[in-house]
Amino acid sequence: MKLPLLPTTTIGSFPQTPEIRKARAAFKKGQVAQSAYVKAMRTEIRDAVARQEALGLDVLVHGEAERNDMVEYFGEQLQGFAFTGNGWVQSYGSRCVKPPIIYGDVERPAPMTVEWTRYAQSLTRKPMKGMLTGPITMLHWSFVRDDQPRSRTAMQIALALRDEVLDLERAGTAIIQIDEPALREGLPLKKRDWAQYLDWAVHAFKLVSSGVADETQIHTHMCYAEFNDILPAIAALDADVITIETSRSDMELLEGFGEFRYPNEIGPGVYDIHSARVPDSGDMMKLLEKAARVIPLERLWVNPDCGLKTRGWPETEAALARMVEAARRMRARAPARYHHAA
Amino acid sequence: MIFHSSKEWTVAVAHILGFPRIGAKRELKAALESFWRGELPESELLKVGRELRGKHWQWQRDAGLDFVTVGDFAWYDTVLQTLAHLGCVPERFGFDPRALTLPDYFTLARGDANHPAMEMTKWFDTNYHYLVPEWSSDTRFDGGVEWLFEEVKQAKELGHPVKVALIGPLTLLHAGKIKSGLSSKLDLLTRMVPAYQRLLARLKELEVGWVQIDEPVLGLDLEERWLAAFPPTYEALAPSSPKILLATYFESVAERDTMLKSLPVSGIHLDLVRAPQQLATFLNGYPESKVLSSESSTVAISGAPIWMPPSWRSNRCMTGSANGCGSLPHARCSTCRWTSRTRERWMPRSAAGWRSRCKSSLRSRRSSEVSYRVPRRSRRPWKPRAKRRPRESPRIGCAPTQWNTVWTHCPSATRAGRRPSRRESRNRGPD
Repeated sequence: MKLPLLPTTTIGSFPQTPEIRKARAAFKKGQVAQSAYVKAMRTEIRDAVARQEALGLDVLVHGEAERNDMVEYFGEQLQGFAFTGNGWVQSYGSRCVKPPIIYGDVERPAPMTVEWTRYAQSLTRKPMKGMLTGPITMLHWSFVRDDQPRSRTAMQIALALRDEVLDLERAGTAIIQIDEPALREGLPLKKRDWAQYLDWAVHAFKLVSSGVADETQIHTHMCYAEFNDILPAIAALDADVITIETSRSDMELLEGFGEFRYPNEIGPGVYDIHSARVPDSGDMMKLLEKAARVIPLERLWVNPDCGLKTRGWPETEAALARMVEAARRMRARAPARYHHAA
Repeated sequence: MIFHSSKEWTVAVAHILGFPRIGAKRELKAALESFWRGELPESELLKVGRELRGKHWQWQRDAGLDFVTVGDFAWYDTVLQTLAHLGCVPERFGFDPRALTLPDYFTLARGDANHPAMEMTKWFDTNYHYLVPEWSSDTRFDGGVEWLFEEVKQAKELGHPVKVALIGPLTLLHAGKIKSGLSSKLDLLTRMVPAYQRLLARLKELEVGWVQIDEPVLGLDLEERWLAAFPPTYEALAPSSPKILLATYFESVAERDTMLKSLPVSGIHLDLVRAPQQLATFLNGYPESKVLSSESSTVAISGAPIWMPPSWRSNRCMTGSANGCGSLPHARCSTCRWTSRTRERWMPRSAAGWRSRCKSSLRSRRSSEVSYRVPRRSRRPWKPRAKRRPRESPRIGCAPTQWNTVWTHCPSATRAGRRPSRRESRNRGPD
């Protein structure tokens, strides 16, 4: 994989336009045939890929038009999950989620994401990320059966996802991102219970990721949280790249990564997607410079701080264009020793 | 339900810590988003909020709760709402806290062209994101908006007995972040306490009987100086306040029992679903003058998980779903935000009986199971009245919040307690 210094990418999802929602709802109600639905979604994927190429991003995503929610989408295709029609739980502001209910043993009857990813990759020569939700996040964002330890349910989900990862790799996906935004929030409130939780949580993640060849990059993404106290566990996940939400906290988070000498690559979010404000590329460069003070340049990625599904296209494209520009200007400014790589 | 024995009264009162505010069909979401797009006038948004609160309180009353909970409503976030009540919104936005408008409030939460939004982070171990208070040496607590008092008045006008829920001062301080000029968040406490005093005094003027002050921070590994701040803070708050129910949840607070029992509050709430083992610690030497409020696995149902409590599962198992686990309505804390209240498609038909079960459990709880000191007469087994059908109404909850919280008045607190009302006598069952 040939990537420039400070590779640019996004976290996974692109705006869920009213047309996308409409198409999904119609398909769910059985008003649209599967073939028409697949065609509509492929059009969206083609559109997302074209926009990313035009923006000049280095690692692309398919945009997740077919996914309603990062847990629900997988849960619906796994055995052992049930869903509510209106069981909304507030996440922030006006945003709600519908946690699935894990009532039985989790199994994967068939591949869940491979066809979409394969199609998206066929449209571009740039690397396309395969996108999965990690086992701990699936667990924390569901109502979990209470007749067996949570760790056992986590391992069942992990085994199902491991098969998915291997299928993606077989289909030619060079980068697979396993999101674990909820890893930190599941920490027990009392420190004495942490070690045990982190032990099985890390184990579950590695169960998902460890089947791939060395050449396949594993990425992970985590949300809003203080990581500094669990950095050893984060490092133990052994993801090649971790993207984190740092922009609202002004990169404070990164200092911990620097002090800990986090061994792998990091994509600190350079702008806050939860706000409608289109950031300035100067602001993003400042954040990147701040990040470069604690993480060597060759281990930094450039990305927004979360998925873009809640945003509209105009502000998304404007913000990403400035982000790519910030990355380019940073590359141009980088010390000479980096230039042959770029 | 009130029990009378020759010597003493024991009372069980049912309440919930809070109710989801978003609306069963996310009415609040729809209204907020069209307000932000400029399609809905502010007066209409206010109306939607008022209607939702009214509806939610009515459900609470219809379910047989003794109080409705006011103060669990927020336009965007409970923490931000508390900052607005106290008047301590971040100074960098340049708003006058006493004249904060709804658009200002949303700017704090969502940012604008010149101001990045307030930071968000997760509330304890939940997936709820709150807006992080920004503390600095300039932070002032000079008074804020009137919204809470207006909500109390609304509930009173609708004829509901009111309990107000508020985030407590130490949890609020702890949840914030130092931006500049402070060596410790606790340095702000002396400025913050008078703001709470003023707020509580206003609530007392409005004849609010109880205030539930949430201090979930007590469940964390707290430093000694934070723990030491509790007694003086509550000694300062109690005199001017309605009766205080100090609410803890998410974790056991057993190791703080001596301190908690000695606080000058009128009651303590324990989370007995997450941490049932702490009950024994608290019952040992629990002050007779205090109320004990709890969710327990025999009595009540927790918010976060949705499974039937074991005590119900054992005898009246709902067998419809795949592995025989039934599920059930409830949420433990006010920031657990379930909305759905109709029977879900995937649910077994028997699940439609949930609410009746919920309600009858509430009743039976209120009669016998709950009381830790039940007079002899009521120890007879409770028999539900034959064939009482659940009321046909959309109130059935696949997921209201905590139906579960029950509190028990210890005898001396209620010796002068009220006589059972006619409705209560009706619901009391044979004895």
